[in-house]
Order: sequence, then C-alpha cells, then structure tokens
Amino acid sequence: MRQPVLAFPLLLGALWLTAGASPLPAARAKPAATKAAAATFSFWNSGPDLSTLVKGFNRAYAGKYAIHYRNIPYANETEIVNSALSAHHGPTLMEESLTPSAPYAVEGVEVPILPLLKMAGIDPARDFPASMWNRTTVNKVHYVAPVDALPTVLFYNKALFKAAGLNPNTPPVNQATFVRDAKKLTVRAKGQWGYVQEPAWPNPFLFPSLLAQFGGREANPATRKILFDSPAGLAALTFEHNTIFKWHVSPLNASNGEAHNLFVKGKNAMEMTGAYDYPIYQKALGNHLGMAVLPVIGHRPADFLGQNYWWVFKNPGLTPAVRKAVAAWFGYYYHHSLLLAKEGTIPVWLPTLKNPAFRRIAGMPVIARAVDTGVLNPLIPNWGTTTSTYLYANISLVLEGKSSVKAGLHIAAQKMQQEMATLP
Amino acid sequence: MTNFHLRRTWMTAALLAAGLVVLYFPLAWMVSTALKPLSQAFDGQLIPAVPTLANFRAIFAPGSASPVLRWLGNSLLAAGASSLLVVTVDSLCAFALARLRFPGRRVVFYLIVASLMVPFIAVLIPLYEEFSGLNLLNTYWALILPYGANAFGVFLLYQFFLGVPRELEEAAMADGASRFQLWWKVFVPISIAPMVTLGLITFMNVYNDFLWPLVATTSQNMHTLTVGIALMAIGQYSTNYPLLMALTLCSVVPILLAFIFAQRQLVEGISTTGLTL
Repeated sequence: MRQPVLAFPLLLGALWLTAGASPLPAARAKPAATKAAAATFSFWNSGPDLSTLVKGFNRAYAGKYAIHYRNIPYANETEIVNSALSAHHGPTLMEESLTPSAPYAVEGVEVPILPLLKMAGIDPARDFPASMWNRTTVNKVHYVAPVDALPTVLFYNKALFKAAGLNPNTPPVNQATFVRDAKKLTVRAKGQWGYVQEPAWPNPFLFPSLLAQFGGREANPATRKILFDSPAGLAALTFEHNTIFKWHVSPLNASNGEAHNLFVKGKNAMEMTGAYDYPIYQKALGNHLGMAVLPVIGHRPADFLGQNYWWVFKNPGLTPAVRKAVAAWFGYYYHHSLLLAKEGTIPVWLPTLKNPAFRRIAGMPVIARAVDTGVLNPLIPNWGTTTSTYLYANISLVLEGKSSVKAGLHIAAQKMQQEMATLP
Repeated sequence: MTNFHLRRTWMTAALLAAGLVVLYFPLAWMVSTALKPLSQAFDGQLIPAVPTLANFRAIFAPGSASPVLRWLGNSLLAAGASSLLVVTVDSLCAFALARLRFPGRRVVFYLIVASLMVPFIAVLIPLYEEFSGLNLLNTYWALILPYGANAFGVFLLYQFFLGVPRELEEAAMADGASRFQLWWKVFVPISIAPMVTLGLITFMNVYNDFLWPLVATTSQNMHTLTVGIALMAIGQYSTNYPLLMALTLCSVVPILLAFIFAQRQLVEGISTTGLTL
C-alpha cells in the first residue's frame, strides 16, 4: 500500500514543481534587453543560425528596437508556422527557403517587402544580385527579400586529377571535357569513380542547374504550366543518365550519400552539388580540394541557387514602429554580411560580394561567380513537396534504370500539372 | 546430454546470437559514429580510426550555446510528470468504466477507444489553439497536460480491472469502503504492475515525442531533448551525424535506466495484461 499512497503527493509535487514553482528560470520571461524596447518583433529562422547577429542588433538598438529570435528546424517549418499562424501567434519576420513563402503570399498573409527595404535605404536592383531578386514576385508583387545564397558548384579532388595525368588547376568547363576527365579518373580496379551520380540527392540542386544550362525552365509561375519535360529537360536528365549507363563513369544505383562519402574518402573525383559541402570537404581533403563553377554541360552557364529569403507576416502588431524596427534589422543584417561570410554564410549583398575582403575568403570568389549565373525554383506554392513526390521520385527511377528518361519526365510533368490545379 | 540435444542447444544459441547482433548492431554503430570526427563519419569502419570525445565535449562544454542538460531536465520532468498523471487519470477512468454501472458507460468506453484512431497530426492545430488561448504555450503545462490521459492506458487498465474478482469488491463494500476507497485501497494496489508498465510506456512516449514539444515551445530553455537534438545537429542541407549520434546516445541513457529500475514490474505488467512492447 505504500507506493500508491506516495503517488498522489508525488504527482502533486511534480506538477507544482514543473508548472508553477519550477526552480528553473521562468521560461516565458523576456530577455532583459527587450523589456524596455519601444518596438519589438519576433523573428523565426530555419536557415543558418543568426542568434549572434540578433544579439548584436538588440545591443546596438537597446531601448529602441528588439528582436525575439527563434531558430526552428528546417524540416518542420510548416507545422510550427501554420500552428502559430492559426492561433494568431505567428512571427512578424520569417526566414525560410524561397518557395515556402509562396502559399502565404497567395493567401494574402504577407506584406509587400519593397517599402520596408526602401525604409532601410536598400535598393534591390542595386544591392541584390539580379539572380536573387528577379523572378521572386507573386502576382507581380515582391513579398520576399534574399538572405543568403548557396549555389551549385563543382567539387573535385586535385590529387586524383594529378594522378590521372590531368592538370589539377583546370577542372572541366564543358560537357566534353567533363566526360573526358571523368573517364580518365575512373579506375574501377581501385574502386575509384570519375563522378558519382546518385539517383536521389543532390538532384534538387543538379537537375534545375542542368535544365537551365540547356535553356529550359521548371515551370511558369504565372500560368502554373509545368515545363521541365521539354527538350532541355530531356537533355539534362539524359546527361545524368549517360554518366551511369553510357559513359560508365558513375556507379550503378549509388546509395544516398554515396557521392559525398566516396568524395571524402578520395574515391570520387568530382561532385556537382550545393556549396554547403565546402567546409567538410575542405576539412577532409585540405589542399587537394578543388572548387569551381559548374561546367557548362548544356549551352550556357547556369547553376541552381539554394537560398534563404525572409518575409513579413501581416499581423495586428505590425505597427509603424515595428516596421521601422524590421527595416533597421534588414539594414543591420546586410551591412554585417561580410562578418557572416567569414563564418560561411554566403551573402547576397552586392557591396559585400564586391568587397576585396570578401574575395580573399577561401572559396568565396567561385561562389560569388556562381551566384551571378544562379537560377531559382519557380515561386509556386508547395513546389518543394510536389517536386519531391513526383519529379525527383521519377528522376530516381530513371537513374536506377527502371524508367526511360522521356517516360520519367513525362509522368512527373503530368502528375505535377494535375497537382497544380489543386493549388490556391 | 545427447548429441541431438547438444546440437539443438548450439543451434538455439547461434540463432539467439545472430538476433542479438542484428538488434545491437545499430546501437554499436551509433556509439562508433559518436566517437568519430565529422570527416570520418562515413568511413564505413565500425571501430573509429582515431576515436575522439570531441562530440561529447561539444555537447557538455561549459558556456555552450545549446543547453543540453537543461533540455534533458525538461524531457525528464515532462515525461515523469506525464507518467504520474496518466497513471492516475487512466486508472480512475478505467475503474469507473469497468466496475461502476451508469447509463452510457459502453458509449463512453467506445468513444474513448475510438480516439485511438485519430492521428496526432489531426489534432495538432486545435491543441495548439487551445493552449494558446489558455496562454500556456512555452510552459511546462504545455509539455505535460496533453499527455495527461490517453485511451491506450484506459483500455489497458480497463481490461485488467475487468478480471478482478467481484468478491473482492463486494468484501470491501461490505466493510464500508466508498467507491473512491475501493479504487484506492483495492484496485490500485493490485494493479501496480500494469500501472508501472503504463507509466513506463508513457514515459518513453513523452520522452521521445518530437512534434508537440517542437510546436509548443518557443524558447531554447523550454525545449525538450528531442527538439534540442534536431536544432543542434540537423542543418538545412547537411547533418552533423557524429554530433547527432553523440546526442542520441546521451538521450538513450535515461530510458535505459528507467528500464533497468522498472524491469521486474514491466515484465510482470506485460505478462498480466498480455501487452507487447
């Protein structure tokens, strides 16, 4: 009988301790710096952590402006933001990749961003790369501004190039040189590949890059017409397919992460993927790491830009003072982008991109060039989800040899077109 | 022992050993990856070439931006309090449904059991709105109350209480026990094993839950360990697997301890309720 007798006081004690009288500091207490501020706003971010910069802003504008900052996991943004918006507890400022902003813009819960940028003295045409600003409208209105960029680049192993009799300082620049080099770098006896084409990742980076290089587009956001099953799309996917089945420079059915793992182990000579892998490759390969803009596999230079954007939600708390606070944050952020670049975040602020100090940071000149020729996903609601479900699932089947290039793209386009009809 | 029996013993041992390897290999891989630097995370070796504690140092470094111990404390508090609450509420509910006679008893029971079919994602937004309306988001209440009663526990204890002999109840009533005393002094003591089982299962569920704590807590200090792990190790495009494995390893320890301490009651509970984990 002792244990049940103990259960009630234990239960009450636990609830008292945890809910009301916890010895742990009250979690809802706002930071001291934000208490006295005239205008405060909430900022939720699923991209690279900006807490240090936010702290700097809160210090710099103490008593005037303050930000309540929250980092949220990238993969769960939808659940968190939608729950909060439904209860009118959404953030004022949100940072995410580009296409998740589209449904909110279509539903009319975002405010146009141009007036806020102007308030901060920012002229997007002058201050942002054209690749990051153009084609980011919904119904001809700009609701988003770029935060950072992550272009698709070519990583290569200089030591393997040297061993294969290739010049380690001249990576391939077009399809012909890419295939030639990849063949020379493939040494099956050693388990070494010139290039590793995975059926799945990093196609969300690579396929749009190659598609744009062949002159194609994924879709037209104005008409919601799917366009990736064009001759350009066929050419792009045929190239990927050929690396496995025709030129045999890539292994069959490479598993998820295999390109990355083999590259780190020195068994994969080239990889075309997002620049996010640069720090780990730098650590693994040191001076043997080469990085270059993507070779022109198609007809013109182009590369997909991974990216983060921010937008401002309409809410009753968006007073003129809060608008000024948001504008002040924009100015503060962009003017500190060199500092962030030194920590690895690729800026989208042209004054920083042109700054000699920026160009001295390892790897950044290549990345800056890639930003110039970057392309973005079309600003269509649910683009990420629908492409994962249809386009990239079908590309995987093609690259696993289970479907033809034409059939794969055709089926994906057909299904996605049907999906487009259901969107807001 | 005959040759046949010897062979059979060896075969059984070999099969069990194979099963053990299959079960424990992922755990061994987790420990191994936790002891590797990021650059060697995918070297394919079970034994790290150069074992390092750097990932653990990063987790527990004084002044670390990520308060892992705080997250662990939050998880333990939420899981512990929820377990106590669920055991109490579910036991009372199951007792009423199994032993008291009142109109609509069966309907209430089926409604409760039917709620097992509703996936959590379907109630996420209403639940969020409820807690937002009560101004309880980002508090410990939000981490405890939603788990405070569950249909599974009611069903489990209902089945157990149905099997308690009527004579026991009648004897207590003849001694002048009220219905509450009947529950408290008769049913609770004899259902310790299933209640511990329910408590432990609830503890594990709450401790491992991700989505609700993620949505309901906004400040870093209120996150639970699962949310903290996601924030600390999983990036937008890349994941720090050695750090993720080190964090996961740390998160497994409390559950392991809970199992060790409640092992006897757990086995007893499983055998008395026919439950499978």
